[in-house]
Formats: sequence, C-alpha cells, structure tokens
Amino acid sequence: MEINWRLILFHLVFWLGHAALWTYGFFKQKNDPELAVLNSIGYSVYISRGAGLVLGVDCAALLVPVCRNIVRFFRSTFLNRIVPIDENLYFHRWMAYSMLFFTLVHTNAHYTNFFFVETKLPVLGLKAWQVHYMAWAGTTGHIMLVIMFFMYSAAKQEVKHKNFEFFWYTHHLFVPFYFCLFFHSFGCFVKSSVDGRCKGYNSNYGTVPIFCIYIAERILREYRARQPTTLSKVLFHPGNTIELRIEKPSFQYKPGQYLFLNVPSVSKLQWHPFTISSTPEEGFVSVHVRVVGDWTKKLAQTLGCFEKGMTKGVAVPQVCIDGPYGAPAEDLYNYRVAVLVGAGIGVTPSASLLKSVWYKYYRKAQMPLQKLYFFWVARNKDEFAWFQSLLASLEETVPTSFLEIHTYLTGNLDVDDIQNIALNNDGEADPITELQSRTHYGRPDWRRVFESVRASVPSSVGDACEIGVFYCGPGALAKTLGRVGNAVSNSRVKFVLRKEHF
Amino acid sequence: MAKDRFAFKWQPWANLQAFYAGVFILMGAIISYWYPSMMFAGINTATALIILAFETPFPGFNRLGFVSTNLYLRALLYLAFIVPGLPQAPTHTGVLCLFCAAVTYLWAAIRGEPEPPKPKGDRPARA
Repeated sequence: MEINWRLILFHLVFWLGHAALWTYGFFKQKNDPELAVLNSIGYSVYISRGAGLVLGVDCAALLVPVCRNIVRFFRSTFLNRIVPIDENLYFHRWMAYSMLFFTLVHTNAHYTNFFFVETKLPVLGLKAWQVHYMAWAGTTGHIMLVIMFFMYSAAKQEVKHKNFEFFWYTHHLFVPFYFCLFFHSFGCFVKSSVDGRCKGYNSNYGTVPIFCIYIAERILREYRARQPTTLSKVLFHPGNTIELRIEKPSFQYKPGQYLFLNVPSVSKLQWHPFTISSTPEEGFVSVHVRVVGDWTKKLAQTLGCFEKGMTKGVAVPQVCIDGPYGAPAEDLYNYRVAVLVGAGIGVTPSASLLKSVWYKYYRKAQMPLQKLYFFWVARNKDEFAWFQSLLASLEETVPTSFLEIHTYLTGNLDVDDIQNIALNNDGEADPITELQSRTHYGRPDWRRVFESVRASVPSSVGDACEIGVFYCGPGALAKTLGRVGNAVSNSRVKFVLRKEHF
Repeated sequence: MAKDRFAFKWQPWANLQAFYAGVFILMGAIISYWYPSMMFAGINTATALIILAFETPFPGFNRLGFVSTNLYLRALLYLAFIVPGLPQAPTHTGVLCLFCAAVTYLWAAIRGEPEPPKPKGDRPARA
C-alpha cells in the first residue's frame, strides 16, 4: 500500500472518528444523572463505556466490507470515485485492529470496575468474580474475548497462507461471537436508578440487521454456486499453469472481473479467487491457475496434470464458481489511453481485456479507448506460451497505432537459451514469443517507459488526459509503478494506478 | 508427515497465540497493581515480558540454545506461567489464552516440528 494523501486522509478520518465516538460515549456516561451510583466509581466507568460504544459501532461496520455482492453493486456507482471500494478488505482489517485496541481498553477498564464494585459499592452486594463470570455481560464478554483470540491469531498471514482452511474455520467463529454480542447487555447491569430502565448502547439495532444481511449474502453465494456448472476442458500449460474452461449458463460476466473457485474433491470449503482470463464472446469461463501452494498442487493432482502422456480414467471433478466480482480492470474502456501491466500469472486480467479488445476491434465497436499499451513481464520464457496465440492474432488484426505489445523476460538465461536466441534472432519474428515486437531482456526501466508513454499520448486525445495503469502481479512492482506514475505525471497527463490484489 | 513443504505447521500459530496471551497477561498484570496483593502483579508482569521476549522474538532470545529452540520446554514453561495468573481476575483471560498456546506448542513438539525459524527465515507459501 503506497503512502499517499488518500491513505493519510483515511487514517485521519478513521482514528479521529473513533476518538470522537469514544469521547461522546465517555461524556454521555459521565453526565448521566441516572447512573450516578455506578459513576461514583470513577474514570474507569466512563472509559469502559466510551470504548463499549465504539465497539458497538465497529462490530456493525466490520461486516459491511465483506458483503461481496453489496460491494460489487457499489463499485459501479459514483461512490467508487470517492471511496476506493476495491480496498474493502483493507478497511475490514483496520476495523479489526481498531476493535482489538478498544477491546483491550474496554476489558481492562471493566476489570478495574469490577474490583471497585466489590470494594466501593457494597450497596450492590457483588463480588468482583461474580460480575466477571456470572453476569450476562461478563460471561458473553469472556467468550467473545477467547473467540477474538482465535480469530485474530489464525488470520495473520503466517497462518492464513500456510493453511487457508484453518483460517476459514476459525474465522467462522464470528457467528457465536455475534450471538454473544447480541446478548452482552441482557443482564442489564447498567440500570437507571430512577426507573430501572436498561441503559445500554442499543447497538443491537445496528449489529443485528447487518448480521442478517451478511447471512443473506452467504446464502445467496451458496445458491449461486450450486447452479449447473461443468468443467469442459483442462489444459496444462508450461510454467506449471493449469487453464480450466468452465461452462455455466447462469454466469454473466465482463472482461477483467474475477471469480471464486471451489473444487469439492480438493477441498470442500475453500474458495479461491482467480481472474477470469476469457471474454463472454467465447462462450465459456476460463481461469489460469498457477500451481504454487497446497490447494493448487492438490488441484493439479486431481486433474491428472502430472501424469505423463495421455490421461486415462481421470474423472472430471465437479467445480463451483461464485461471482463474478468486480475488479479495477473492468474500468479499462473508460480511459482514452491505458497501460496494461501483467507480471507472471498477473497477466490474466490483461489477457481477458486484450481478448475483449480483439472482439471489439473486430466488430468495429465504438469505445473511448484510443491507445492501449501492454507490458508483460515474465520470469521465464515458458510463461509466454500461455497467451502466445492470443498476442499473435492481436498483432495481425490490431494496428500498433492502437495497441502496442511489449514483452520482458527477466529471469536468468542459461547458455543454451542464449545460443538458441542468437541463432534465431535474424528472422522476422522474435525468437522467444514469435511476435513481431521484440522481447526485451531484463527488467523494464519503468521511468523511461512511462515517460515515452506520456510523450506519445496522441494529440487527438487532447489535453488533461488521465492514463489508467492496470496492474496485476506481485506487490513490490505495484509500489514501483505507483511511485513512477506519480513522479512522471504532470499537469497535462496523469497516471492513475489501478491495481488488483487478492 | 511434516516432510511435505505444504504441510500445516502449528508452530507459527502457537507463536501468535503466545504473543497475544503475553499481551493480555501484561495488561492484566498492570491493572492488578491496584489490587490488594502487589506480588502477583509483579510476577505476572515478569512472566508476560518473558513470553513476549520469546515470541517477538526479542533479539538474543532466539540464541539461548536449547532453552529457546526446544518446543517441549517452551510448552512446559508456559504451563508453569499459568499458575501465578490464577489468583487474580485481570490475568484470567491471558492465562486461558496462554493455556491454548501451551497446548498448541505441545502439539507442535509432538509432531516433531522444527525449532521456531529465525526472523529473516521463512517465506510464507501461497495457496
């Protein structure tokens, strides 16, 4: 995540908002004459109540960014220009961090309160341990604390990446968590001394509806996933990449979107996101899956990818897909000039978009896009095989005044490769990709690349042009592109980085 | 069993559990300074800091040889650290979490998982 004014603004608003909410809760408790008995304990009461109010709001807001379908809906509205809706998981995580902080404040202030209830308020006749473990609030509170302990520790990258299923199961503890939250104030510990009315935060008015909406979301996802889906073709590409072609009549998508894939015979409960590498015109949905971790490796084995020769007797497994979900790449056609950058397997959204460009060009469709640059950075030459035929046909049909293709090979070459390249280099086509455009060796100098893109913005585009840079791949390159884009932008031409990440 | 590169390792999770447990115990220990017997506050502060030093890992604490690498020893140490947290309420939650962490470490030790990696070691695998 590159640090820019937007990020700083978000954190400023986020934390000031939380502080304001806490302060409001603090004074609301302090200035309430009906709660004078409890207030006589002192500051720990106001601190705990302030934190409690913040937690009530946070628990409601926490679920909103993970309602994928609602998020997808808002992506296509004006809201996306104000708030970066693609960063919904970032928001979810920071909500969780805020919850962790305020939970610690809330819990520790309450522990202080319980002790003082026993010593300073003999009129209530309660021992500290009774409030801890026998009251509704204490019991549900402790259960929630233990649940949070498991959820947070299993959600860290170190655990999530090594065993996703484990993270998935523990994260579903949110269901008992929310039930505990709903019943947290049932004991009516905080009572008005005038009319005995419970003076909680009424947070259930917020958390219950949102929880129900999230459950409805999950039901919708399950229902959609069970629509008829068939795996029609599996191709095993060099570079350890599997292409799956799936047919699902009820699935409508746009190029550049992504889906979640589930293969029950590999893992019943894991759903993994993959960019769709096909276009709707092709009549099927394809994804390119690179074999990297435990799920993908098992998938490859199930599909018989590691068998030598023709695969015999490999049963076609059932697959389920959920989606489509929006991604930045969807907005490509809104820009007059765009740059597509794909690194490694991150080339998949670019592939889908380029295919769509091919179809549009073929149909002579009208679109704002006037110039498209495509940069494919691959570590070894096998990876170019994935979309070589697509690029070859693009080169034939689409003129370079519209589409420029640049390929970069960044990995080390051994002597045989170098000799091979040298031998074949005098032909019409590039020795590695068999395209007209020559492969560059080594990493691109992004500064020079962006400067030449800026310089060659056609005058037909006019002044004040925004160039969309659509990137998918490892995070380090995203940082570089963001940095270089900011540095090279001027008043006439502005580079806007739209990156995908899962 | 643990030879496969993609097999799940319990040690990283135990590490995180113990870290959070240390934080909870430390917070509880600070609160319990206001409770009648200050002795427990002092002991729990010390145990919490030791846990945090092992789990961060604080530089130097991963080079104590057998003491810092053996997972059985760590599990037993944490089980022992539970005891001073029991008498007073503020440290109860931390102690419960520490128990979970100790059990997870014990499980990792039984499975024969290697010692905790050095800070710059492991690259996490992807799905």
